[in-house]
Formats: sequence, structure tokens, C-alpha cells
Amino acid sequence: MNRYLLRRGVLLGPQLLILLVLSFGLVHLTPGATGAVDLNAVSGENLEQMRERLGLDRPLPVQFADWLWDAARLDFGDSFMDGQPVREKIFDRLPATMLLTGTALVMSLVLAIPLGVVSSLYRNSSADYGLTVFAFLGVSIPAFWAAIVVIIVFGVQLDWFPIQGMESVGRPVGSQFLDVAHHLVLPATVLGLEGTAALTRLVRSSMTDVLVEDYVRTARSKGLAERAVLYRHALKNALLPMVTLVGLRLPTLIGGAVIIETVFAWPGIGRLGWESVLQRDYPVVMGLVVFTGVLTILGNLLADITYAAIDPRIKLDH
Amino acid sequence: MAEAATIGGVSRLAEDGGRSARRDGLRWRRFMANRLSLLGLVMLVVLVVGALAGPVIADRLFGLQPNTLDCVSLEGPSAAHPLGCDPLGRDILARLLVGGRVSLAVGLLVAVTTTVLGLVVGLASGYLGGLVDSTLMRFTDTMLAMPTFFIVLAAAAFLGPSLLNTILIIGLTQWMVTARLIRGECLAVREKEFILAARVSGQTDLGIMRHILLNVISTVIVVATLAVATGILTESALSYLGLGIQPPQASWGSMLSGAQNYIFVEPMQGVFPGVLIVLTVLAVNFVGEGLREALDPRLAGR
Repeated sequence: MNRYLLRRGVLLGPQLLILLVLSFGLVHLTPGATGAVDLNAVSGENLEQMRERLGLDRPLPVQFADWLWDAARLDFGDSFMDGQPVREKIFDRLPATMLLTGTALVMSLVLAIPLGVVSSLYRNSSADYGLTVFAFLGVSIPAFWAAIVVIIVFGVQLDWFPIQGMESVGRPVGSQFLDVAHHLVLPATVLGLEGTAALTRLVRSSMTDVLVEDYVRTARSKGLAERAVLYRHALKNALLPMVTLVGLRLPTLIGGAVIIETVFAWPGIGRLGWESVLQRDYPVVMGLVVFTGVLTILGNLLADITYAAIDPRIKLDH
Repeated sequence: MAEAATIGGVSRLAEDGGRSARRDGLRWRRFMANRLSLLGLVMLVVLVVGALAGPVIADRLFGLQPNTLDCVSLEGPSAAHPLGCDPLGRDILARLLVGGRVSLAVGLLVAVTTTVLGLVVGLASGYLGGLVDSTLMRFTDTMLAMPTFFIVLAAAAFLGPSLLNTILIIGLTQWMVTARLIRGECLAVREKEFILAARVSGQTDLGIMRHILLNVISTVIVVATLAVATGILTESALSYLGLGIQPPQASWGSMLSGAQNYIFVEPMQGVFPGVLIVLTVLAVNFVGEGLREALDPRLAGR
């Protein structure tokens, strides 16, 4: 297992390097955009001074090395819009995104595991059929449209939930916790919908695969109660791949958060990203790409470590 | 959104040979036996015909123009404008039909891009092995772990939003699943006897790769279908955020973006484009699932 972890850990280096090159290249290879202020607005002598001051007259590899050194210390410069350090901007907005994506992910798992198991145990029943249709709908509805629909129905027509922001303006009705929870319902549900649908199908197919395994037959033939066979032997194994799949869902969740936070005016890094992209606030965009990239890479690493820790077979597999 | 479309995981679709007429007939029957995939196929045919012929018919027979401001802003349905008008006073039906072309074209071309890239990376990786394999797969894994939608957004904004850029940017960030699957298939097929036979008979590397390609084709078809769904969904989200298809050109995503400020007063403005996106993606996913089941005998009877 230690060897496995070592091999897995060594991967981090190249992964981070590729991420950094991509983030840097994204901005610096853009025609007209030099990774600095909007130089189109500056002209003549000022332009030269500006370029010099920002270090843009140096060769690209030097600029990259420089940026890399700063990025290693989580220093991504200051935002063009308000001069606030990018790091501060991201850390200010991070908790809101963590809350939103975390809630959505937990919701997906809590719903998808029982639904997938039911679907698998009662294959080709009407419940399975209904869940299949739900799963297909869930992955086929664009998140932004689902958001618009729930805003109109539950936010405006029924007026059950707030549709903007994370907290009430002014004095909240109940405690702050309840207020935030109230604001969280619609965005988290929409963000979790696609994951619930996709994971339900994955649990179903994983459970279906496990149910025909020899050890399930063995468990049955030695006279174990069906409950014990299903939940202690089959389900445990069926859920193993979930660990990896949750890790792989992280990029999707962050991508979804960009859309959901934009529609619901949720004050997280997704909305910050959209705003920065529109305003061509390059330092913030670069910082966000690196930051979210590192988060997902670490999330996947964590998933792999967890997998290795709970699956004894990994030990032999080196 | 990348993995969204890959319901159930596509794997192990390759078989030896498998191009005989009898087996094709069996596959066709298996595909047709699946009610959902049949439904998806019918829906898809209707949508494609609608998108191809719809704008022409609407224009020639009913004089409906997608980009002409010829009706009252937000007007309800009438004989002249069957689905009413958008906030700028353009015919909604005509725009929906033209928008369908955009969605389907983007979906199809994204699928082509991801398939070509995925095939090149997957075949090179799986066939050549060694350092090429490990380098390419590290890169693929890193791309898989990246929040690609964010990069898509930034790239679209920085490079300038357009139809071509939309397709390329989505394609360049969605090929990883294809590449991984093709590599997996390739590794499995590489050890088969007919490849050894080809090698012994003095075939070139390219010739052998062709043999491998023919054997992983069913996997390719299935993931390509699912890539169409991803492409359509991503384009609509991008256009909705104002960074995809640009006005006045109609796309379902940009129609929703334009209707956004009026949906509280006129909810119907937001209904048709959204429903069409859902139906199209649903149809593609149904067909993809049907293909997967038809091409993968392992799933028979489940």
C-alpha cells in the first residue's frame, strides 16, 4: 500500500505542472491579451512604460518562471478591478462555494445510493423504469434551465424559497443558520440533480455487477439472511467504486457551480470566475483556474488514498 | 458536465471480428427491442428533419424570419406568429428552428473533434505503450481532473465567442473519456491472436493500428454519441452565459439568455428553448444507451 501511495503521490508533480502551464498559456497565448491590464486602452509611450512595469517585455519563459514562483506561494497578484489581492478574493468567496457544492454532493450521495440499490434489486420493475427515466432526465436537463424553472415555480409563483444570494438583506427572520439554509435549498438542489441522476445509474450498474459475483452466491449458500447478504456483502463492494467516482465528479461540480452561482447570485468563486472572465480580470482568472485545479487534483488524490485504505486488494496490486 | 452524458460507464464493447451481417442484424434487433432507444431515435429524426427543413418551410410557406423584427415584443401566439415573439420582436418559432441547426451542428462537430482527438491519443497510448503511454495518460488524467467548464468559459471570452470557437473549445476539453476508453480497448485487443497474426505476416504499425481501430469501433460509436449530448449541453450553457453563439444568430441557449429578464412576466418565453434542449439531449442519450446495450453482449438480458 505504501508503494501504491508513493507511486500515486509522484503523479502530483506532473499534474500540477500541466495545470500551471495550461493556466498560464490560456491567458498569455490569447491574442491581444497579455495577461495583464487591458492594453488596448493604453497607447504610445504609456504602453511601453506599462509593459515594462508589468514585466511584459521579458521573454515568455522568464515571465512563466516568475509567475510560477509567485503561484507557488499562492500569490497571484492583484485584481485589475479593485486592486484586491487575488488570493484574498478567492478565500473570501471560497466558503460559499464549499457550502453549495458540499451540500449538493452530500445530497447526491444520500439520494443516489438507496435509489440505485432499489433500481438494481428490482430490475425491470416499474420503480426501476421510473428511476431510469429520472436518471436520463437528470443528465439531460441543462442546469441553468432547471434553475430558471425552479426559480419561477418555487421562488416566484409559490414564493417558498429566496432566489438570490446567500443571506437575506437586512434583518433575517430566524437565526442566521436557518436563513442561509433557506437560501441554499434551490441552488443546492439544482446543482445536485445531475449528480444524483448520474450516480443513481452508476450505483445500479455497480450493484448489478456485484450481485452475480461468486462471494454473493457463497454468502447465500451458507445460509445468511438476505438482508445480510445484500447490505453487508454486496452493497459494501458495490459502493467501492463510488469513492473514485466522487473524486471524478469534483470538476463537474465546480463547473456546475459557475452556472448555478451565476443564476442564483450566490457569492462564491464560480460567480467570481464568471465576472472576472467577462471583465477580463486576468490575474483572478489565472488564480481561479490554478486554485480550482489544485483543489480537484487534491480531491482525486484523497479519493485514491481512501480507496487504497478501504480496498485490501490494492496491497497486492503493485 | 463531461461525465454527465456517460451514463453507466461504457466499456468492453470490442469483440473479435463482429462485422458479419448476421451479428449486425442481431444488434439491430437488440437496439430496436429497447423501447427507450427506439423513442430516442424517432425523436432525433424528427428534430434533425425539423432543424434541416424547418427554417426553409417556415420561410417559404409562412414567411417566418428568424432575425427580422417583424412583430410586437413579447406578443403572444397568433396566426402570423404561432409561438409568439421574443423580447426584441422576432418570431420565436423561426428562431427555434434555426437554433436547432446550431445545437445539432455543435453536438455533431464536438463529437467529431473529441472522437478524432480521443482516437489519436487512445490508439497511440494503447498501441505504442511505454513512455508514450504514461506521458499521454498523465496528461489525460490531469485534464480529467481539471474544472474544464471554467477553462471553456475563459477561453471563449478571451479568444472571442463564435460558432467555430465554441466547437473547438468544447471539443478540446472533452476528449479525455474517449481517449481513456479507446486505450483500454486497445490494450485488450492488442493481445489477441489476430493482431499477432498481422504482425507475423509483416504488417506495418499503421496496418495493425487499422485492425485495432476496426475492433474498437463500437466503443467509439457509443462514446461519440454521448459526446453529442455533452456538446449540446455545454454549448447551451455557454450561449446562456453570453459566451457562445452571438446575437443575432439564434441558439437555444442564447434565446434563454435573451428571455431571461422577461420570464417572470412571460414564463412561456423560457419554456420552448429549454424543452427543446432537454428533448434533444434526452433523445441522444436514449440512442447512446440503446447502442451501448446493442453493441455489448455482456449486457444481454440484464
